Amino acid sequence: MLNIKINGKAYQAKGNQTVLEACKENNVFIPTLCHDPRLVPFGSCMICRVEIEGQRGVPLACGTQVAEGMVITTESAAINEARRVCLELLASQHYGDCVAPCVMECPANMDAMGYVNMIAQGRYDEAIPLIKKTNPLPVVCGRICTRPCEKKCRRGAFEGPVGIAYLKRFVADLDMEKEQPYLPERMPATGKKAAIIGAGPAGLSAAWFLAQMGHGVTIYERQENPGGMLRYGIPSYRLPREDLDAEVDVIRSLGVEIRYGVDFGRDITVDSLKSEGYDSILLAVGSQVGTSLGVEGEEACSNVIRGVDFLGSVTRGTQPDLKGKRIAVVGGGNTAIDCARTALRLAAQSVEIIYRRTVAEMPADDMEIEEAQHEEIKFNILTNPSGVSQAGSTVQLKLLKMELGEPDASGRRSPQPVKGSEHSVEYDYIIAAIGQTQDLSFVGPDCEVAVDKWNCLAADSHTMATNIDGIFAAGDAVTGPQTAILAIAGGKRAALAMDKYMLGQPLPKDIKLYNHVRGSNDELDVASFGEKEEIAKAVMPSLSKAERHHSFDEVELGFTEGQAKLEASRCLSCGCADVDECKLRQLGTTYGADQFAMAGEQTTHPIDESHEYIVRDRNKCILCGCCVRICAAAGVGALGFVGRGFDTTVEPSFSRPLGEEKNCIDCGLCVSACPVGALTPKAVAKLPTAAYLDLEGVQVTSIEDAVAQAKSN
Amino acid sequence: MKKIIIGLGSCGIAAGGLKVKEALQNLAAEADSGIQVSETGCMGMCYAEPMVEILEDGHRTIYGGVDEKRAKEIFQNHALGGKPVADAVALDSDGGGSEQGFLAQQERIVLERCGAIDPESIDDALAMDAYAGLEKALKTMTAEQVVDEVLRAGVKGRGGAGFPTGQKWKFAAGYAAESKYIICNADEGDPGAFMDRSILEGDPHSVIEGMIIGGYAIGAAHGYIYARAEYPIAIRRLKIAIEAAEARGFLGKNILGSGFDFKLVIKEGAGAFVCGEETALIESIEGNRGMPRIRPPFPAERGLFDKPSNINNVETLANIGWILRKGADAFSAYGTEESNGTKVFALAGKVTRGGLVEIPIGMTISEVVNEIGGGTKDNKALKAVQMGGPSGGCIPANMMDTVIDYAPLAATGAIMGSGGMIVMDEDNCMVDIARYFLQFTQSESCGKCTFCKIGTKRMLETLERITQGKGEEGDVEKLETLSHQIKTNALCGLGQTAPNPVLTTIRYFRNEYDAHIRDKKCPTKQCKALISFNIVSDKCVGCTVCAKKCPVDAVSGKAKEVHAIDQGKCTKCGICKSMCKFDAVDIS
Repeated sequence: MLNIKINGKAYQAKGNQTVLEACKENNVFIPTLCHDPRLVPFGSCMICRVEIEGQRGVPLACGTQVAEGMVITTESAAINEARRVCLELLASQHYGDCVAPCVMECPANMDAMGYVNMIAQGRYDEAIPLIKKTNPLPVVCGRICTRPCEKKCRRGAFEGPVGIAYLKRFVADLDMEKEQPYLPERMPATGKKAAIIGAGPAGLSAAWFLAQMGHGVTIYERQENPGGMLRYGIPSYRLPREDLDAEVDVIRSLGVEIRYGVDFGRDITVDSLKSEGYDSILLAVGSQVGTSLGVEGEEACSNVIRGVDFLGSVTRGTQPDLKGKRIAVVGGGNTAIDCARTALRLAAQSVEIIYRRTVAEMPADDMEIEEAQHEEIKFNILTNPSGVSQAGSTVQLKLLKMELGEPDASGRRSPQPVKGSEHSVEYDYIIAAIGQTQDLSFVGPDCEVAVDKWNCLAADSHTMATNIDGIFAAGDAVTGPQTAILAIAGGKRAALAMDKYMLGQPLPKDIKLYNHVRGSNDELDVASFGEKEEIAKAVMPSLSKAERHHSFDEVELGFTEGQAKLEASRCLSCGCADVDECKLRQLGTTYGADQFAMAGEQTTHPIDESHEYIVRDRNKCILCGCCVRICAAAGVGALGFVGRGFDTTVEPSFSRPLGEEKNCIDCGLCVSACPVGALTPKAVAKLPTAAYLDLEGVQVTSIEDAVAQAKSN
Repeated sequence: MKKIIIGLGSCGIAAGGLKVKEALQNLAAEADSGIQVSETGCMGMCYAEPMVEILEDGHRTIYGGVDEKRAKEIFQNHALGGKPVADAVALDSDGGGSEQGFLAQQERIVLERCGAIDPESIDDALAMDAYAGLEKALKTMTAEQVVDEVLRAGVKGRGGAGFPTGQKWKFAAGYAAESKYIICNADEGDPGAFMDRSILEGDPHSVIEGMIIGGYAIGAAHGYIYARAEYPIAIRRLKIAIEAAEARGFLGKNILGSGFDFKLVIKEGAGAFVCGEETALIESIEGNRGMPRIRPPFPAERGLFDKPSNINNVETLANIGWILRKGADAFSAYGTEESNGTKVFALAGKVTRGGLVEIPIGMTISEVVNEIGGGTKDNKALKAVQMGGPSGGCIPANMMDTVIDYAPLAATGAIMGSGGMIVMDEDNCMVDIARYFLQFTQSESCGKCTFCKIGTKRMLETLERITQGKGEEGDVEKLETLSHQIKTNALCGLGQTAPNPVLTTIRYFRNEYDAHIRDKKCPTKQCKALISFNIVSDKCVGCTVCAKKCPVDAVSGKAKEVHAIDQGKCTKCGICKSMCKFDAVDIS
């Protein structure tokens, strides 16, 4: 044994070891991308550079033999800087998405690419557990989600994005049809109890995850039924109540108790909850106070209703009789559209949306706007109310025509009134769907949580912890009126932090993972995906226009299985198959690499899927040569370097597709050696050998074994 | 007995030497004079090729710039008539001729026989003491004594790095193995450098002799000459020389009765610049793609076919026979305290007398450029001298007194290099020069190590942006940072030295970078994106020459009227300016 020093500490090493091997054996981490323990050192990635006392320059740990008395430094400011630059250089010539944009864009980071592919392969039973790892309400979200995922879907650069939400609905509906829908395992009881205020999406989500972690969970809900804005803010023709209830029932069957008609701040308080033995509290009270029009005369008008109040009253059956009435809905968001379409179903004579900008600027979901237009709701754009007065059972609404001026801080062109355009129109009811705010009347001496300048609860964006020890907050109460999926995501983050809090452990840290991206769809190199057959985006079967009138039946009917499978097959699987094992990503995270620091020309190539078992994506190749060398060491020699300088690539013989490579014996050693996602096994066809390295890079299959296995097949 | 000798190195051939030879052969045959017509390699005066020598009783008269007409004149007046054509004499062994200045300060060790012998005749070489050093070594010295002699001579690697050759031999000799190799690196690839080619073309025996001696010294019975296939004349002459050496018993079994066996093989390289790096060269000989290996282990321990190997450059090996023949002391009489002997340079660029020069180490750059080279062409101001090719750097005009030796040159940021010496004048844009060299290294990068294959690409992109007027504040600093990373972290010498031309131009010509970046101007009016060609109306006489010569029809105008250049069509080739007799084309 040799005596060596690593980073100032004494260690022993075997005489025939390299510095890299000696450090690994002594649990000192040295990063490498191009070294595979089955191969002789190569010296391509240059990331295992270390400093050795008395040696010139910075030798490579992979290729340097240890010697008696060697003094090695594996980490220093200069070394780490060089490693970061090295990673940034590699990243600048690496083209791919670590994580599919649909997953990145989803506030809950739902594995859309994963479940869509499972649906494509008919693995429905596997899709639901995957979905419910991040979202306990897929039946709901499959219907009403605003689908940020689909806006970023890479297929959007082709014929149109994959219908991710509809696919989720398809598979979630299938699950709910079962006698026992999917229920995850519950961990052993911890003896800890959490109280959740509000049974909306944030509260339900937190409850689902806390219950799985073995905690006791009670939700306190002010209303008589669960769902929060899902129930009182979303019309039933979009989300049938029985579907919502069924999904909430699954959460309850995990052991979550919901107590209704309990008003936090009045019926219960922080103190009362503490005295009942709750170890933590989540404030998920939502945002359900409608904003006023803010025009003269509004207070005196009984026929001006606020949007959320109107939708809530319809849910409760206490709405005014709109039959034959003339309705104006003011606003351009989803609530305005919901109010208008609901009014139509209540047999209003006419329904008109008044909005001060144009349709293009409406914050409402495009699909919702289209549905409203389809249902012949009138859009009175570039119009803004300036006053209102009650005239018997009707109201006179004063309106101004608007024109768009210079872009404002939000980037939207700000509407300016047209001089002399004021006019009056008579309506029976005005529904003000301008916005919502939060009812935080519980904040006071009992519950001194901090409130920010937007009248929202102030909470840490990652742990959702408030300023009060043991009190967390999530959902619209923190963000202001937002989407269900954002609330669900916040609920999960709160649950993860509450779990740690209740167990007396440090709260989770927000670790920023290195995520490589292909950029926006506008600049996407479509050719790099190879030839893609055009498949038209599936059309959701829905009720006819006539069937929708005066009916609260669900408009969208759901995909057939055939539709779902075909639609799911459109997924490009743009996220990297190697995302969890990719060493470039791991080291990029460790050394804080910036993908764009060394940005420059990139060469791209079509992904090669010609091989039966292997996907070859040269866009991700870092030219470490592991595949070339292991293939040569296996005696196969199917791969080699081609070209020079920046344009160098690794290619099969004569740069033909890998599937045409006569020498390949399907041993999979190249896949096992690839440190990134340039060579990955196909999801559907498993390689006939097991030539993989496990996550720690420990050799599981030798070159000899893999070749022998491949040859015996 | 008269002999006519024509210089037929690549330079002579390129200048039309073959036609001159044919003409002289025909004249000699017609005259039935018995005058022998033969050829020789390059004697260094590439600028004066084709050169024709009349040799009579040891007296040499050398004519420069000979065409077929002049050849006839020389043949009739001098070869037949015995009267030299005085106005055409470049050199005369009596000390006359117009070009004595070119040779006056040179010392010839490596190039001793170049231009003096027919490289395809071993007898010519033997007449000038070829293989005398080998004979002395094999017959009177042990291998250790040979190593010691080379060590004592203090010759350093002439390929660029300057590692003491004797040390290298000593290392290789120190490893015991059943077989060892000695390799000659003839993969000369620096733009503008042609020392090795000229040596191989002019005196292949000097290299062969050096290799045999080296093989004897380190205990190698096999030698490889790794020569680029783009040097067909050098390879042909080498093959002829090897065959002749085998026939005379200098190669093969039991050389000169010493019991020492040595076999020599030529391996032709496919032209990858990186194969000049010793470990990439070894990979290439082994039949692999030329990519450098991790060092250590150094080739002396584990090289070709994993056996101890020694690699020397052509010029280094060409010194060896001389050293053995004349002794280490004679060699160390030349040079400086730190470095002995001579160095061959390929003097090129904007210099009056471009060619091959061999000077004792220790001369100044100015002496080489101004005295031997005759200064810049057309009396333009000297701006810089680029030394060491893509691995080297640009030394500015105010540092021309720098002594040509390894350490003083390294202190300037340039390197001694393999011998490229490119003279630049006031018209050269130094940013563009840096871009040019980096483009070369980037396209010749083997693609193996991250810093070279991608780092130099990103540097090149930045330089391209700057020369296109799209540079930004901070670009220079970015170049410097990346340069530092590449120099420290690239795998081999190619990558580690690639930033040198950029760093030296930033160091000495920062103002030119700033002008491109801040003012979007190229001070030398070389960067096409930053200039436009315009007709000066009060100078233009409407001669129509520019309009006729413009390759893209960008110039319009009637005869005797002022012309105009369509900027949309103009490709900025500069032909109009060069053709205009009235100086009526201006660059702005």
